[in-house]
Amino acid sequence: MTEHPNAATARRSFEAWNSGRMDVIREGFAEDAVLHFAGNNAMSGTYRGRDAVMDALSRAMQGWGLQTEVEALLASDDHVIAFFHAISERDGKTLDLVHAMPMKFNAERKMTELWFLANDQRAYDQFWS
Amino acid sequence: MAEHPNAGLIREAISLFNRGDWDAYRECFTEDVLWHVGGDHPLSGDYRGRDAIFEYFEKVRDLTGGGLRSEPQDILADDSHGGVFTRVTADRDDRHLDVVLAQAYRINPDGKFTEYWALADDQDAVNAFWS
Repeated sequence: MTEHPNAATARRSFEAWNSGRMDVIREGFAEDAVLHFAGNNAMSGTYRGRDAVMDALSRAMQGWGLQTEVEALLASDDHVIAFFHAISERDGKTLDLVHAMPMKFNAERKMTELWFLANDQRAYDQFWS
Repeated sequence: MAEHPNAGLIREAISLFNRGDWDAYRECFTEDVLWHVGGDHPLSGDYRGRDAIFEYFEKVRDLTGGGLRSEPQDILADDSHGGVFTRVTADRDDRHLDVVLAQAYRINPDGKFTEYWALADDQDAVNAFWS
């Protein structure tokens, strides 16, 4: 089965994250995109507008330096839900957290809203604090 | 295109939840299910095991007088995962909740939920409702 175009966009964004191609990630977002950064830590909050979203993601990438591994992408014309591993090493420890990330898409197949949750929120908050 | 069996499973589980059929709803989960509720409110956090999550459901039921409703808008699935975007409404005293909740599930070959994430698009509204 051919991958749904929205799933393809999501997959391209994950690949771009792993290779640091923020320009490719940016192309996937609508102008009025909204990002909800989960948890209770320094990154947490809602970022509105593509510039604010990209700024938050750039900070996350610098702080995180992590690799993502997609476990599954479920897609429809309006939505994608991504299941992915975020893997990071810090102070000799490897952190591997599974996240679920819902995304909303518009008719132009651009991401308009996304948010996510890790499977171990305490470890997640400690990492970002 | 026919609905994926795991999409049917999620549709049925939500229907059981709405009807308050806890015995049948319980059967949708494995004994050691992991449950992740996002946000920053008294019900947020990680729940481990079916007993723990049903205590959580009882709290939800008690706080909302059993009136919390979930209306699926879009159900997505593959062979080992499922997800739903569902409109959740509830009342609690003079507070009213009306949000879209994205729920993500890992599903085992027996058709049971092994892991679950609940994420609201308007987390502030959810936090205010439960706090």
